[in-house]
Amino acid sequence: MYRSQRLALKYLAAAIGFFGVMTLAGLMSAYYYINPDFLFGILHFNIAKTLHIDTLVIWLLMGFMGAIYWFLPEELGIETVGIRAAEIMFYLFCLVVLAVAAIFVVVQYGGSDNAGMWLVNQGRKYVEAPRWAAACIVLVMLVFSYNLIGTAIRARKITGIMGVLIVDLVPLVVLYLDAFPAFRNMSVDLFWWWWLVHLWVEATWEVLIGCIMALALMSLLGTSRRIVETWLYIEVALVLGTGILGLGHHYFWIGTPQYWLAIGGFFSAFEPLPLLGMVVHAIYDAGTHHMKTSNRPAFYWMLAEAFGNFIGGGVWGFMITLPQVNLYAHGTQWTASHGHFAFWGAYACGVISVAYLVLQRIRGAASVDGTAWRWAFAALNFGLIGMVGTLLVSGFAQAFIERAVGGSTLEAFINAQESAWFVDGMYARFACGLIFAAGYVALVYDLLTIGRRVPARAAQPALP
Amino acid sequence: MTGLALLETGLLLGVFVLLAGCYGVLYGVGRLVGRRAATAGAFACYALQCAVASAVVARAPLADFWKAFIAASTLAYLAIPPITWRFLEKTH
Repeated sequence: MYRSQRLALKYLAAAIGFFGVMTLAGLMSAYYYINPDFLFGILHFNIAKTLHIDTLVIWLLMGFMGAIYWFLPEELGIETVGIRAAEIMFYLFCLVVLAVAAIFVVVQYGGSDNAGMWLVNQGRKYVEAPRWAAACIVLVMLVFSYNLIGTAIRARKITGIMGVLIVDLVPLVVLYLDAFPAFRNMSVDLFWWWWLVHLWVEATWEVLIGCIMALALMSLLGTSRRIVETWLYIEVALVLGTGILGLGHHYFWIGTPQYWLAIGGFFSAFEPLPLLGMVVHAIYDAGTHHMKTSNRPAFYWMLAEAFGNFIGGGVWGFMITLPQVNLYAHGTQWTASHGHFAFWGAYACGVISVAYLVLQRIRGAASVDGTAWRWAFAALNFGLIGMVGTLLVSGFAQAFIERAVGGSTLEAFINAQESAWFVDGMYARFACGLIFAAGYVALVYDLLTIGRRVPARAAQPALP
Repeated sequence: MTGLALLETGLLLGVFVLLAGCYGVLYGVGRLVGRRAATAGAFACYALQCAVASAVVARAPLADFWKAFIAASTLAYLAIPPITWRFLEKTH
């Protein structure tokens, strides 16, 4: 096994660990809605929510990096260049995340001055990490970029997937620099902040997961390179074509000019179209392989990715993307429902799929299957669907009572929060969150044991 | 927009895309197994999608531009599964 692949294992293990932290913080955040006095004076809702959404970003990013460190030496046929630096960066990354989590839990608040932003909390959603930590993450991403580009140069080889991946590194690193400035004008601040949040999630990460899924498809189903690369180019073009200017749907109500209503609505309304193409592609792949593969969990999680992306991003997103509806729905649990479903479908399922692929290889199992992964698959997906369904009901109540009927007054806000539809939705969401957490436990158990219970492969290809 | 119109419009838009997904899935299944029932189901879903689009155009309090957009995208949704399938067969 290459050193790069050993590093990939560490990244994937850390990703699954932080997935657990995200789930726990999510459960806590859900519980605050039904018991607002929970941990009063010790740990408030905003800290639990910050941990929930920040670890979401971290575990997915670590999962992507793990997947790429796994596939990179196989793709280019040599050990990853700068692997020692990459290993150091892994430990730095983990230390930084743990230190930031500790600061959030213990210190919680900084002042609204430079010292507060450098040392404690930057205060902007998803990029709350203090600047010292953000600088460390930039360093990790720069070393990651060096690993990819350096390996391609030393191997004197550039495949289509590698080409797309290397080009994608530029926005991946450059857009993160948006985590640093703090403008006094809130509209200007939000304008650039969305470049980071939206263009990472709906452009850069989409390309990254597209490359990872292309590599995984070749590994899992033996799909030819010509096919996956052709589809990668088409899907990346379509996703970027709709996703980049789809950024505008975040500019509707932050004080930007009115033309963003048309631009944002128009391009983001196109976003379900390429996702439908991906669903048809998934049906084709599943059918031509008769749902048979040596790694059923990886295959099913890959299918879940295609369907989850379409339903979470496409269906749930289209409900709220046109400006007239978004006026009432933005910032309610309706939006949270879309966010949960889209992240799960677009990214989380893909990372779990790659984890199963990697485990099959390192454990030398001819095939991996069993019952534990089915329980994990069912509980995680039903728990998630339950959460997004109940959040949707609560969001409907907010949009209806608070926004459309009450006109967004404080009294209307309180009425919506006290409405039975909202309150019951929050209880049901917590119950579904427990099912999701049970699914996480089953997933961890399965990842620890799968492949150990079946006969090893007759012969393994020799790897350095 | 009234509260009820808001919920109706949001749900109609979601169902509009969901039916496009059902059309795509059933179209793919129909082509894979060669069953007419699946293909008929696909086009039934598409017909329902057209009905939902008509409801949006007729009832939803959206601006005319968005109504025209919904109507035009209904045609795009019709074309995507067959074009994708043909391309998949060609590349495989």
